[in-house]
Amino acid sequence: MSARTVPVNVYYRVTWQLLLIVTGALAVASQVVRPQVGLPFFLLSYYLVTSYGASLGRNRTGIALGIAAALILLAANEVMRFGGVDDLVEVMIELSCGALPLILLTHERPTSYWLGALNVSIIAIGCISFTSSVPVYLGFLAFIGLLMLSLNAANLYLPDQTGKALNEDLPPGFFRQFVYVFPSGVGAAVLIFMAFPRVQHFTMSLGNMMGKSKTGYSGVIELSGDGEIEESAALALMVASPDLGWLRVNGPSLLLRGDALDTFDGTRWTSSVFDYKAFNMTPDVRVTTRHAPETKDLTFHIEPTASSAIFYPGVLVAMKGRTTNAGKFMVNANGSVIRDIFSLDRFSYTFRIAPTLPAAALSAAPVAEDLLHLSAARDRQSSPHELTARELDVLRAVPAAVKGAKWFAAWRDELGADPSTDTLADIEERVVEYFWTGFKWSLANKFSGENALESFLTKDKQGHCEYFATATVLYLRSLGIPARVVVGYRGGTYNQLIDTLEVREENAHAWVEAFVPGVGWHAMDPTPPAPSGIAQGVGAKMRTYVNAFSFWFRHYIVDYDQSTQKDLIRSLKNIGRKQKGDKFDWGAAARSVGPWAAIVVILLILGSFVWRRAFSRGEIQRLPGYYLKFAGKMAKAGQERRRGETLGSWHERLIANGADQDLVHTIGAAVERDLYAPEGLTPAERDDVVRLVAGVKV
Amino acid sequence: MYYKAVNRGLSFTKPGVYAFGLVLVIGMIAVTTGINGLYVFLSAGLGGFVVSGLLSEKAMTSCTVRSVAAAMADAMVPFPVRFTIENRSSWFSVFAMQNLFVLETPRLRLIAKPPPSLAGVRIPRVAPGAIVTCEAHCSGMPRGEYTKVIALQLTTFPFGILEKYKQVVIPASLLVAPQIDPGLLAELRTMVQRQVAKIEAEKEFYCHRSFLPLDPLRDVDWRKSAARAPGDWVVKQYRRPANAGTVRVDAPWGYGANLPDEARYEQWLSRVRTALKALDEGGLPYLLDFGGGMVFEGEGDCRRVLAAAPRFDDRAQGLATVSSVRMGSGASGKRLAIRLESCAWDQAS
Repeated sequence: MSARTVPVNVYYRVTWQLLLIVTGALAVASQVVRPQVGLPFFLLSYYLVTSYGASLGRNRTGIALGIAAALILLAANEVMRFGGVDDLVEVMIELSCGALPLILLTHERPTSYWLGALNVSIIAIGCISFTSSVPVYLGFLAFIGLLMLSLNAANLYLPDQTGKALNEDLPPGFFRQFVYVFPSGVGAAVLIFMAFPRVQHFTMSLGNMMGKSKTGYSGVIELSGDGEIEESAALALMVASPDLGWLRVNGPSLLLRGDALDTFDGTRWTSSVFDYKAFNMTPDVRVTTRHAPETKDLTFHIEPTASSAIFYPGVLVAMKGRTTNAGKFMVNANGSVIRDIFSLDRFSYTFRIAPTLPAAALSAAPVAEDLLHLSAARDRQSSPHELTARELDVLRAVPAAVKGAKWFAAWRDELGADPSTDTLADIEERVVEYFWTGFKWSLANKFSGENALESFLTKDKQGHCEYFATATVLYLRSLGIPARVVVGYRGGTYNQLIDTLEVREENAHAWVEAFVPGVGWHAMDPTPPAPSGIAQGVGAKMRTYVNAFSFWFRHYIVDYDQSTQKDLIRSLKNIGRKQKGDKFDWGAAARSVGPWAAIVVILLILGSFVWRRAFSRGEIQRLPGYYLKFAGKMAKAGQERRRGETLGSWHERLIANGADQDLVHTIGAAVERDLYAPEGLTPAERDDVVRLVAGVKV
Repeated sequence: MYYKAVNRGLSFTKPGVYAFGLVLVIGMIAVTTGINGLYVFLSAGLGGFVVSGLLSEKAMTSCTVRSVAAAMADAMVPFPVRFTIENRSSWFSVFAMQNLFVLETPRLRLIAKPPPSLAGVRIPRVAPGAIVTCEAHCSGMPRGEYTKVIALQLTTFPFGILEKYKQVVIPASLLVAPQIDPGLLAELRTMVQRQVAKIEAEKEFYCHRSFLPLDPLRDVDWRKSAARAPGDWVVKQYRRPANAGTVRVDAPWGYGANLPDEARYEQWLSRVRTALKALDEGGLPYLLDFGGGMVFEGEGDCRRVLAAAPRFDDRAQGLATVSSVRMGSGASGKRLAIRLESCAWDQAS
């Protein structure tokens, strides 16, 4: 009668195996457990769960001794490398991994099962505590789901206090009951997760994770030419703005400024400015420059990075807010903003910025004329747009080895700008045209000569952004224009699903800032465009969806904090109101909630349809033919079985309404045996019942 | 309907206590640190408890003990308790349902511990709409007539962390007669066998009847049949003497009721029951005479009256409380007087 499904012992073992696999993957992916420690123990645990019980036979004691010895060695190793409280959790989790096989050696006993479940839970919780990546969180959710199933399997399979276990196959439709209550459980979990107050934010990080962080932004430039640079597609930061149209158009060409480097020794750029001042809600006046009148509010979501740099495009006007885990912001005279804490977690901040003006709008005078103002201001600083004497020296310095080199002079002559007649805009145009037409962008980072910069400019004529920026700065300085290299990110990919600019490590970039006396700094990017790397097709589309999912997942789960919570509450409060203080507008409320309500209603209708089909039809099909015939006859007589009425209740109602008691009991007993008794009905008995039903007269 | 009549509750299993403790500890760490992964664990853990509660609630509303079959047994002797259990849901399978039978409402605690029960069985699965007959093993009950038992249904399904329970009072008919005294039974067996032999020896001629093919030849009356053809043979018919008919078991209620303590009272009832057992084994018909016109006849009725005899503290009520028992009519014969000190034959007056 019944289709055979999964045996309970298989259900128990498979869920255990999957739980071990997911826990092992979590441990490795989160880098909390060293793979060389965790993997062998997880593999051994997996083996023990797979080939359990009798098949281990007498080897069990030997295996236990082996595992115990390995565990002792591991413990000794952990003690030796124990460096303080920071290592405590890491050591505990690694020891938990080691103890797991020992516990699972007898995983078919309830106590061992519970200890094992506790152990994998501790490992998974440890992993999630130190990592805030989307895959690890997804893995953790999978872990929780599997843990529930494993608990269910253990509850059926392992003997309870009565010593009895379910030793049969799971019935068809066993998992349907979970589907029935799943929405309630998930709803409760989501509600608890969303509503629980987020007061604290404490960041934990482990020693062995620090060195493993990858970043394309280092804040340092070294023109070493020591081999090909590998592009990294890792997400660096995301930029969002209420002005979606502006972001969509300008986002891919935005220059997100990180740090400015003003000192060059021939191969290496460094910053000479170290004194940082607290940067509060209004920016330091020294970093302002003349800018376009309109401003934009941009929110930056920074991925975990080894750098403490804070990025922004254009001219920084004001800080609008930041997440609690971002720390305090500080700014130096170069306009570089950093934060005062270092942690490997995600944080966000919102800046009000103003787009920069083109060079022509900053100064229409020839460069030589501008520089006269610079000389006049050299010994004093009366305006924020002026430099001190020390700064001027640094920002116009060209290393002697370069300055006196013939190749540099020849190259400078080749460009042939004339400061007495050319404006900064002219010089920028000349440099950009020169590089864009005669040079090629490349990440090869290998040059034919010993001096990478010389080879780049004279022979190879290809290199990456740092070479173009360096050459341009040196050229500007040689003309007497104060200039510096700026490092950060250029543009990114606009994701229309989440209306956010995705900036990746491959977008790390270096460009140039030139000083315009009395105005401020002007950014110019001499690097020729990289070959189009815009991915097309299904892969690119999938990546867009994955990124959008990751963004929402991070925003509402991984990085869910007090500010997100407040935003949610605010958006709930504002349902039906266009602005704060407005009266409740039912139309606006319907417009904002309506689509979601419609989706929920459609899902409910679909769910109820599926529900009715799955449950009511399934039952009718199981009933034997003679009984369906009997039910039909009774229905004709106006005694139809009601929806949800059990057979027993219906039979009692039939008898109460005057049906032949013996007949109903006989047919009822027959169908009960046919459906539920292991032996069923014999063919002769079935024939008798069929004849009996045929004889029923309505 | 269901909620009005049924006493239900929830308790934690031992692993459930630890699981709940772990979830709370992780929750506290989450609140202290603000790590969302820990909040995920906290919310998923509490969501798991919700799922567990809903599924076990569904199991409880769907599954119920319908009836307990009538049974007769001797006190403190194991016997099977048969009962039927019904899954009233048309789609939901009930799993791992523990069914216990108790006489008094047990005190169930927050941390689950199975209460002492008369009988219990764990049913792995009850299919949707099914009525299943089950058998629980009862390790023995004290003497009494039990007209109702409390069915205590417990389930730790689905995760083994919560134990949901439901108590339902079920009409029953369990008759537990007084305990058999093995020593006395052996003694009485001898006495009864002697009595049976005596009665056999005292059989007197009653009449003749025609010989039937399977009749033993020793019963043929050869004096009358010697010259006859086999088809005309006659056999002698014997009957017990008139005064050797039904044994009257003399157990005056006044004697039993006046015994000084419960142990002796129960022992007396046990001796009466043992005497009846010995007479049953010997094949002697008997009447149980409690005096004052309270006479009972037949094994079933006698066992029932002994099972339903009032407890020591209620003995003043007498046997009048045993209303379902048919009062037998008297017959004379041998009398077996059952006292605490002795059991002796005596000729009925």
